[in-house]
Amino acid sequence: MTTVAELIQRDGLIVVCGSGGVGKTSISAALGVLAATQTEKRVLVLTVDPAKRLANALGLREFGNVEVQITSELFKTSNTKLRGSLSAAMIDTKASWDDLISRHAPDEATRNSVLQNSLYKNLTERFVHSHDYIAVERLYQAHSSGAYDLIVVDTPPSRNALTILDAPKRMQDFFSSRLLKLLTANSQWQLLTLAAKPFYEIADRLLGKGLLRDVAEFFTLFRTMETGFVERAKKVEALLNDSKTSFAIVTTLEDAPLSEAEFLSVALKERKFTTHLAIANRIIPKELQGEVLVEQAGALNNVRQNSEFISELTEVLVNTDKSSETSSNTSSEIDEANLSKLLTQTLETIQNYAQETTKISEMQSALLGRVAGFADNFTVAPMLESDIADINGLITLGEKLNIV
Amino acid sequence: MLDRQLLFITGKGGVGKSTVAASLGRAAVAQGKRVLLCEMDAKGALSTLLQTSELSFTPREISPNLSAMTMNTQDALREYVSIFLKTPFVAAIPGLAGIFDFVADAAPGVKEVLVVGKLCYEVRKGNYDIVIVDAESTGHIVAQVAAPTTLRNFVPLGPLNEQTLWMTAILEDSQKTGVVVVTTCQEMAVNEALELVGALQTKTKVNTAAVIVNRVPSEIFTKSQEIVFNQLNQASIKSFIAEKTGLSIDLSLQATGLARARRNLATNHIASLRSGLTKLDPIKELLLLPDFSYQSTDLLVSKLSSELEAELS
Repeated sequence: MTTVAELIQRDGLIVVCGSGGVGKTSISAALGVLAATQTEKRVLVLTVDPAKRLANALGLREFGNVEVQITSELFKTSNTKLRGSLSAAMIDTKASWDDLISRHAPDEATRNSVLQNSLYKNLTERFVHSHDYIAVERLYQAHSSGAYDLIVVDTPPSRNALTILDAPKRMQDFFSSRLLKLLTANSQWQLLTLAAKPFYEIADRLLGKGLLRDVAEFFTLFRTMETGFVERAKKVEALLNDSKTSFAIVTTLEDAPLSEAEFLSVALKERKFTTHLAIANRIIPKELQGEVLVEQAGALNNVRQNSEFISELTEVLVNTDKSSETSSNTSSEIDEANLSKLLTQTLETIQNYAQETTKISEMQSALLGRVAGFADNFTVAPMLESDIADINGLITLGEKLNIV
Repeated sequence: MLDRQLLFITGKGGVGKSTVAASLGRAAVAQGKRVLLCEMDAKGALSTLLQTSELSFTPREISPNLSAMTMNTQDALREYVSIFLKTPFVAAIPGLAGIFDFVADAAPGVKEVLVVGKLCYEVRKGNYDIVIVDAESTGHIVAQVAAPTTLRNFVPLGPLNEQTLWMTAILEDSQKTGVVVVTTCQEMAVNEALELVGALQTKTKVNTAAVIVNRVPSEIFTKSQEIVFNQLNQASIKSFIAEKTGLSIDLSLQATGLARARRNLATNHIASLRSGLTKLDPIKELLLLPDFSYQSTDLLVSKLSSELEAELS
């Protein structure tokens, strides 16, 4: 287990995983920003599908595979400055597949036939969990370019975050599968061999004539790229297994994402990967935890029932409002009698929310125990008042992550 | 919404699709319907929510009028072969399921047709009044409901092709079938929901039954209370209160402020969802469900289903 500070000091990769909707993308971006501002590293944040404003916060304007370097201009309004460099890129599955095919195709004719095949699009969209494979493939590509010291990758939403780790292996298995061999081994005369005949007859009856043949033809073409693909997948797999690769699990303190996080940490262990860090996201801010709000709620309850005090406070509010130039209209529309009633109601709501917040924070502390159960070391990120929309938001989130 | 016979519940990962599907199932049972809930990915979320043991391809009645199953392509294939091709022995040929799986993966629409076909078949058989599908997330649903049509274009002949016709008749009948898009009031989820409703409209003839916003934080203040809250939050007022009562209410204000900020943020996202949806005519329903995410699992489904019952009645 590693602290955030130690994690960003390491060269290599940080794979950020966790259930959908827990804030992986923001956390990944914040870790990237933190590394680039605290160290002199060249940092890349690879993200799958960021919210528009988060993408803008990273200076990404359009969807594409291109790595964009974030200029210090973006940090203009902030006290924190870049020490290293920061780049970001989104992962475009289709474009990355096209790249792969172009790289591995033995000749131009094969490349064009594959790219234009009507089955190809379908294949890139879902075959062998292509999003996952592409994510690790892009990771490898960026890493082997040597242009970055640290790469933070935000994993794609999938059935579970493990599919990304198994993707390279699955790609290799795919090429060595008996089925693929059966289907493509000289597909012309294979149709006529006695053993395969019932297969094809039945498949034709099931699927419609010719479909199987089309598929076989496509895969025959695809197999010409086997060597390239398999070698690459092996390298990608080796990179994931490298000690330079760290894993961070992000979760919110709710049952479903937490169960996924627990499952993930067990599965990582089984695959001999180390979970370096767990991050509990969207927790009630520290200063609002504990007994303090309960005490305030009790006191508020007394205060709002004290009619003498309420009328004094009403008067003060009316006077402040009159004298204040900034708070223009506010209570001018509320008369004094109504104001004291409103004041009591508002104080009651505040009292209720103080209690509600305490309740949530108690539940969160209990669930935090479960995070402690799978991670010896974890860090927390607070619930934020708004969506992250600029680099300052990421800097703040990164700083909060960095506090132990 | 619950008057239809087939509902696909979809949305971005993590928005609570399974919870909403299970709650809709319970709400339909409360309306006196016989319900089949079907989980599309074998993740097991549905069985946890319904507090029952692992589900299988064969539907199991887990409480009166509520049955549940989990989808499986290979079982769907086996059933398809035995029912429609009337050749039960075929599916037993070793390796066939494997090669079929392989080819089905590559050919557009084949797998989806099997899966959607099974669901439509349950509708056609009429053992249930409504089939509620805890469907796959946004990325796949369009391909799924459009699969019979896609397949017809791709494989112009053959038995599978013929089978797609009756499926389409069920899927494209808005009296019978609808997609329910679930979202939360977060930027990404809202954008994805809007994109999905648009895609369903342009790429399929399947009707969108409703958009459900899950986990909407409750309203904190009325408009005039909001004004008072802002006044209380001034330094001079805070010190007046402290001076008079010995009470510093700063942290309580902060806690309330956090809840208020989150509510406002949610309201803004819902507003942009609403305006986005009005541009995509016709829109059936926009339902808002309160945030029960801090409830235990059993309470979650029962609370949400009574909320849904109230909303839908």
